[in-house]
This record gives sequence, C-alpha cells and structure tokens, in this order.
Amino acid sequence: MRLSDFIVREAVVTSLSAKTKEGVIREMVNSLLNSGRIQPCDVDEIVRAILKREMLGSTAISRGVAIPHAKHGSIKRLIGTIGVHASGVGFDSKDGSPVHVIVMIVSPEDRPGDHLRALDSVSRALRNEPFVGKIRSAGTLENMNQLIDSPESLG
Amino acid sequence: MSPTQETPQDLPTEVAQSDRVLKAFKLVSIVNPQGFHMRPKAAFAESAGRFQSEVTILWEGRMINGKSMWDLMLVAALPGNEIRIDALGPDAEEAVTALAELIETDTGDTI
Repeated sequence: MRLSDFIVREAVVTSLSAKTKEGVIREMVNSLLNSGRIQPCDVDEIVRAILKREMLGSTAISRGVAIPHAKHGSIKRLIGTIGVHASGVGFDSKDGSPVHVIVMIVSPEDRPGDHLRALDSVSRALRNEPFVGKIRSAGTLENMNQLIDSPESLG
Repeated sequence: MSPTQETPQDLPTEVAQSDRVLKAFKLVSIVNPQGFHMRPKAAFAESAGRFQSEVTILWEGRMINGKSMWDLMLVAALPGNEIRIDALGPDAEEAVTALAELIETDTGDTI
C-alpha cells in the first residue's frame, strides 16, 4: 500500500485554519465529508471516535507529524487525508511540540491489516524529513498531488 | 597457553570480560485482535526506551529499531504473526522479558 492508494485527493487541506486539536480533527473530517467519501450523519461519530482514540495517547509521533485515526462501521474501504497547519497546532505530543502535518486515517471495522499497511506507508513516506518539509510547503492541491504520486512517497 | 597470545580459544574469555554486554532474544506472537497497531507500538517504544540495551525487532527480514515509532510503524504484524525481539546491552534479558510480556499479554482494545 502507498499513500496514493488511500489519500482522498479532494479532501487534502493544504492550509488548516482551526486553532485546536479538536478543531483541526473536525476540519479534516468535514473535508472528507465535502469530498463525498463520508455521510453527514457520520461526521460527529467519526470525530468522537478519533478524539476517543487520542484520549488513550496522542498520535503525534515526532517531527511535527500526527496520525489521528479511527474505525467506523460506515467505511467500506480505508480512506485518509492530509492536513497542513502552517503555524502548528497543539496535539498533546510527548515533547509538547506543535504538529504541522496531520495524516488522518479512517478504516473499516473489520480490516486491521489495511490499517497496519496504511501506517507502514505513512512511515515510509514521512520518516524522510525533507519530504515532510515539502508537504508542509506544498501550498496547493496540485503540488500535494505531485508529492503523493512521487517516488519519494514510497520511502 | 600464554594469555597474551591471541588465539581463537582466548576470544570467548575476552568477550565475556568486556563489561557485561549481553544478548537476548525471544520470538513472540501477536495476540491483539487488531494486530500490532499504534497504541501497542507506542507502549512498546516507551518501554524499550527505559532500557539501556539496544532493542530491535526482526520483521520480514528487516531489523527494526524498537525504540523508534517511525520504525515500529513498519511492523504490520497481524494476530498470530510472530516477531523476534532482540536486545543487546547490559539489561538485554530484562528488556526482552518485559517487552515480550507486553506483546503476549496485549489482548487489545478496539480503537
């Protein structure tokens, strides 16, 4: 699996505007809604599921990257989106540093293998710090699409 | 045989005297129904970080740094899959015992 297999291009947000962790998560779930990949009636539940998971421990890893995620019964095939926050948003990371690149994953309830392979592909792409820098400065959906399709995204 | 002579027979003694660098490893099976997902990976990295020893996981022929979340995310191990935990250092055995227990008793959550 690679990023291009599950990142919903139309749902990528190159400039997140919310100022809080919850706000950013809602902004990204709304973006999945606007792309037509989730239903309006599921938005609140998906936001709650992601926040509940964050309560168990922040999904901020390091290098300003977080991977909030949840499973939801309405999802038939794993989807994801990427959000970039220029000034950084608090994400309860261990070292307290803000997060700039957020990769959100929403999975079906019964496909743990897909979820693990998605994490693998996120790590392959974003363990490369210069690539994280390019994602941060992409600015446009067109640039972001090029990055998602680039050989660099394979790690 | 003089101890100053370097012969193959002398080498094990030298290694044993070289300040308690020990190796340990164990094969463990994933029991969490969701596999080795992010929360257990984070718990593993945090626990591994408390030991002085280097901790690695052998997964699909790759050596994975057990103290790095970025590395652990590459371990897409499902329930029933086996991973090998290796430690190298003064507390290698304690590290492997603790980390193996973490994996073997992680019956999971649903998130």
